[in-house]
Amino acid sequence: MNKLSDEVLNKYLDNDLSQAELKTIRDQLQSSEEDRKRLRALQLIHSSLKNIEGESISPNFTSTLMGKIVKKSKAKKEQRFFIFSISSVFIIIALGIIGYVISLILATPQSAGDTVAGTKETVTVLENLIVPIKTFLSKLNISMIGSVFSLGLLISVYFILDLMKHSKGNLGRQH
Amino acid sequence: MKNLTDLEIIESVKRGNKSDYAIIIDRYKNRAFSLVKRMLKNEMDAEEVLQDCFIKAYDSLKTFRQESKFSTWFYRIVYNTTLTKLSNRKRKIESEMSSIDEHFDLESGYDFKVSERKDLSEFVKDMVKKLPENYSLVITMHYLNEMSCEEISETLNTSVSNVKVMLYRSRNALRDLLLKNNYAEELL
Repeated sequence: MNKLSDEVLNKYLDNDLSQAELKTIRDQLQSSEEDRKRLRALQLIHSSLKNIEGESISPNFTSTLMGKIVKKSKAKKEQRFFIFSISSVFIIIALGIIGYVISLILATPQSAGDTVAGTKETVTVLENLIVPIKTFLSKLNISMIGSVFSLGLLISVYFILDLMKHSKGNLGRQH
Repeated sequence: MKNLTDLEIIESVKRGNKSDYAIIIDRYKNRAFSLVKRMLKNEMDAEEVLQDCFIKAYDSLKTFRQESKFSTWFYRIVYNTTLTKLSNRKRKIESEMSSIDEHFDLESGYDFKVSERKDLSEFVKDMVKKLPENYSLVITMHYLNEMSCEEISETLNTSVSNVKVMLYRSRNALRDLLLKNNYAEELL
């Protein structure tokens, strides 16, 4: 009789065989001392592996890690608040500019001879809209708006980078 | 609180009870540490990488969709983060992890005269360390982390049959050593 293969013995160990296969293997095991020895050795390895103890990490691991996690989420919150404040400022500025443009449009006097047809009136309204926008977006105003935005952007970027550096530093110190 | 399942704890953390995450850390730190240490072979690096793994898992809790067990999901983070650390060290073992070596020799480089003084479990522990990295990982995951072959295959991103082959070959190699050495008398 051929000896049992290693694969079959491993499957037997893992209870990974059908009832029919089990019966054949049990018969074979009864008749072969060598197969029984190989199986016993495999069972011994299996039980020794089950009893291997794992490594233990330093006792203060959990507290150190939790400290880091709390600090990190706090830094995230601060960052979110900062970005929210900066974007609010930009939105307010943008709203101010839009309001200013609208007020200019409304303040522009209506043309005197607007009593004729509706089409003429529309053209006049459009003209009224374009003129103040043109005035507002004159070279001088554009450069002023650009400067204000650039300055605001530079300041925000500086603070964001500083905040990120600060929060990274905090995490680094915990190591 | 410690009797709660992983999912119950995660739900609690998601609801804002951040401190409950400490239970998850306590539950998995030693088993995951064994795994990382086995891959990195350095205690300091292993602890540092494990911290990163727990932070990554915490940050990704919202994306955990409970399609697999938390342990499988977490061990996958551990495995991938450790692989990244290893590739940073320029140790190209990733390809080794996905392939199965046909042969490995446990006998070379082992002093059996010294091993005579050790008991069987010490002997087996030493031998597991000498297995090729992917085999040793499979043994650690299966016996120490109590993961099934399916869970291991999901974590290592390989097939279940590959995992079984690695498991069987490792056990066979250990058994052959056992039979060739003084430990054979324990079989009587």
